[in-house]
Amino acid sequence: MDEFEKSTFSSTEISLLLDEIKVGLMLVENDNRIAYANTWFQEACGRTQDALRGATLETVFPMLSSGRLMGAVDEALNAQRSTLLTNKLNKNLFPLRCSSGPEMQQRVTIRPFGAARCLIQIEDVTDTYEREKILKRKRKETETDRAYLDAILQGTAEGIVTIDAQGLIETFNTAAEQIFGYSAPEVVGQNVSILMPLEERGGHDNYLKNSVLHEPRIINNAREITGQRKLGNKFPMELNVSRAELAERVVFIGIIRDITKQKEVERLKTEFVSTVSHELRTPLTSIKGALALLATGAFGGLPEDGMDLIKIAEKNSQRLIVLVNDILDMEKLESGEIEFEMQPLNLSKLISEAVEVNDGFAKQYEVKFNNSPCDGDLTVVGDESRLTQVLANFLSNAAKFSMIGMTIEIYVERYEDAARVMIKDQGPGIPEEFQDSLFDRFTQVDGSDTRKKGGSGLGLNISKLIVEKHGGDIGFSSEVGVGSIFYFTLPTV
Amino acid sequence: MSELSEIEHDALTEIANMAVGRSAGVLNEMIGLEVALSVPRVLILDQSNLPEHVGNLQGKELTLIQQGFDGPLSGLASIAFPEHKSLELVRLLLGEEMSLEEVVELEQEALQEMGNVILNSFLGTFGNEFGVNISSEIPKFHKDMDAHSLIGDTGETGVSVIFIHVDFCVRAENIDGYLVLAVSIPTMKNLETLVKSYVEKLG
Repeated sequence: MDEFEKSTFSSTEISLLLDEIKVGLMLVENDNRIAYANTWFQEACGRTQDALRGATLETVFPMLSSGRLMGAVDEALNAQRSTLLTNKLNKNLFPLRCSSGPEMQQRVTIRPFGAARCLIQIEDVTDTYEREKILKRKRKETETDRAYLDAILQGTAEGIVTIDAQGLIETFNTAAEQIFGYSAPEVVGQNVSILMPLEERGGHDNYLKNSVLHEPRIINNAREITGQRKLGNKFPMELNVSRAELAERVVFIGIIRDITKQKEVERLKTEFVSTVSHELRTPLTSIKGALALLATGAFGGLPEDGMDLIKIAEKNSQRLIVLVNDILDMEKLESGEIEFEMQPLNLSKLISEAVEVNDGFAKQYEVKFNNSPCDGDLTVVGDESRLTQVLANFLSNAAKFSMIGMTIEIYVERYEDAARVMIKDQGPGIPEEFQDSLFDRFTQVDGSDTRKKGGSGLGLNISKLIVEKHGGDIGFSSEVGVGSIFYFTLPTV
Repeated sequence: MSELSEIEHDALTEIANMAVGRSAGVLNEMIGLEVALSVPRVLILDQSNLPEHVGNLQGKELTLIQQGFDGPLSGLASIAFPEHKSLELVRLLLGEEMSLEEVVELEQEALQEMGNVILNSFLGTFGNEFGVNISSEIPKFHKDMDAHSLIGDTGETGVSVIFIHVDFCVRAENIDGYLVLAVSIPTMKNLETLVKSYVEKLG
């Protein structure tokens, strides 16, 4: 230990040590002459010790005269004060290059060294500078992205509310403010249930609890619920919720549309259609009756041409009555005005009877129904006359659109807790472009077909409403030139 | 500071005023805009009395630039950027669009350099007025500090503190705020001697 303390270094050794240091070191005399520069500095400025030593700073580095560096040297030499000069605030520091080539970013400190010298120390901060540049650029990009997204969020016409897994509101956009009458600061941090009427709040809490763990049911699927504005008034709204996992947490994004106006328009339309239909049905019935009487010849014979015209008129008045009845039916189904008489039904029996009743259709269009009875009893709960209506619709459609001599297959597929009734025709098939709208109102594949085949274009829409009221679903598969299979599925008991 | 007469106390305050004035000039030069500084509130007190005078600094997280100084007068000089508003100055200095969080996070060097310029010119004024050389060290940067850190950890008692509060305003940019300077001097005797001879010379 003692020996260690006594050990000293020669000036050559110290010089070698200084040359190993990865910072620039330079000693400057009080006449601004360079007394010493270590290897690091020599390499960075591309000059030898001989070229530097004895020369004044301003002759070797003329560019320094326009910066603060010379002033700092002066202050260190004459007032003993230390100065920090960074690349942040100084353009004119030493003209140094990194060993890899680029201009060197520097952090320079200048401090008194003894009474008549100053020490200039230069650190290479190029790497830090580059890292900061990237960091700043990224931040700016993030900020721009955020501003961009915020502009979309605030500018959209839909109310957008995001909540955390506890149901606390995190964001509330401008449209949401307009819909609910709350300002964002009023609701952010509050439970989202304040946007709902009291009676729906509990349900929502349970729903949320399930949704945190599982994909919620209404995700990406708009549903109609009741909202409550700040003033307490309730209103119908369409809600579409999606779930997002952000940085290990779950957030829910609710997109809200106020459908008060839409609902009002729908109500008015329904009322209008229903009123008009009622008003049409009475005169139509008497027109049809009168025409039927004329057609029987009860009031004396008519010339053959005249009789033909009467028959056309009678047939068409019948079509009008069917159309008006279908419209009334549909509106009643939609508004829930129709009461369903639900009772257990034997599905096979129901099908057989429907096939029998519609056999006239088969004869008229010269096709055959082939009903394959299913094994064992299948019981469904439903309204007999309404389900018969669906079957009649499917069977008559199949008959109408099949070619002469073809067979229509009727069969049932059994599932664990459901049964699917299939009606397979060998008709022309449904072109793809019509498939999406087939269950919409007044849809028929080809407008020109309507007259030939008859029908209001409401049959499938009505069938869909009926099946849905039974908790089932309805659909089809079809191939042009091969035929179609229409089906409906009902839960079994 | 009971050792100083009222005149001597006033003289010291006056020197602090001048020092602030010179720092303002340096700031103007750096920023290229007029930085208006209010007449500073200068307190000369014992370090034990500091807590009752830090007032609105209490509980704040300060960004501090500190540099030691030595010579006939020695101690620690600090400049505090007590609020985000104060950091606006640095943003102006950098001429860059950046948030104030970024200033503290990424621009420590710039803050350090700015503090260095102000403190050097401040200490320079004291040196000039007293006719002595006050040497200074390279500044250090500290963030999230409390008001007590203003005087550093001297480990000594009887340390005197020149505590200066100055409001600033950059009208062109509609920025205002305040800065706090603290100069702690453990060698009180020396300061007293310097102030006394200063007053004598004036007289």
